[in-house]
Amino acid sequence: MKDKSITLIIYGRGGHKEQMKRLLSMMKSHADFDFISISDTEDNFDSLKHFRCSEPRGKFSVWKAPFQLANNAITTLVQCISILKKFKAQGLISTGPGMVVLPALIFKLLGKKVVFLESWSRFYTPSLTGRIMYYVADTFYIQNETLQSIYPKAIFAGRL
Amino acid sequence: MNIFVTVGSTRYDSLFHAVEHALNDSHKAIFQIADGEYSHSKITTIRFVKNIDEYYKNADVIITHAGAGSVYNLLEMGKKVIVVQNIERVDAHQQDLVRFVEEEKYGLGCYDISQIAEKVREVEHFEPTPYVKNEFNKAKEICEILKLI
Repeated sequence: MKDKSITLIIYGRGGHKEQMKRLLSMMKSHADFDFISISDTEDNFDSLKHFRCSEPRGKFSVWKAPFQLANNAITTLVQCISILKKFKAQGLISTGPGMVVLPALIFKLLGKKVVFLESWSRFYTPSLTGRIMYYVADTFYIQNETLQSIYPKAIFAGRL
Repeated sequence: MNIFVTVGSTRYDSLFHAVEHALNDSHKAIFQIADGEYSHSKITTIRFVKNIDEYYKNADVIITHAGAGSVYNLLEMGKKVIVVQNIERVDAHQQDLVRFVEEEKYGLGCYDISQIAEKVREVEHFEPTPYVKNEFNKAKEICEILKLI
């Protein structure tokens, strides 16, 4: 087997997962590649190794938010370090949400490629994760043209 | 009229109470409630299903939360939809999608569950604009950036 570089994919439950599913199936028609996954769902699209993390931000309670965020940050940080130790990870791609931020920063600091897709549900307002990833990602894609004025340097990719 | 109500992976119990009150004898409804606590003696409720497309196909109208995964799948199938913002959530990001669907006339938008009964009446005569999208065309470019090709 030839020595292939490994990609890290990061996605949350619901729509984020659906976007990653569609993206992976399109990427697979161009390249044969292995990947590792971090997600707050169990679904891993047959990744080499799946890391389950907690939900970065609760959908219903504001009060729990700081604790959930801290818990998620620590988990993803540990998972990311463990991945970097064990695998030859070369790049990261994510459809959000927030659990991508720390791994993306680490990848960026190590000179690895970071690709981010702003959520397809955004038309008129940016996501919090998107606003951060706009500065972290090497390539930042939007799926709705109406976002171009909010993210001038983003690349319009069409919708998954 | 067969009505299917779906909230995807995020519970939204108040939507089911609102839809329940909007139903009449001409309606047959199935509710997909995720991990919610809603129950009713006469309405079939399901939690999570693998074959949700089958439920979509059998419905004349789908009332869906404004989660993009659910909404885009339904629009791609050419279904008649009422897209409802989940106001139980602390963030309001679903509003973007409700506005988009409404402005493009792909379906009916609903920002407040108090409008549900009105929307259910309206949808019977509503003719949606067929959904067209700019197909995603950066998969190869992403493979190149990540050095997979």
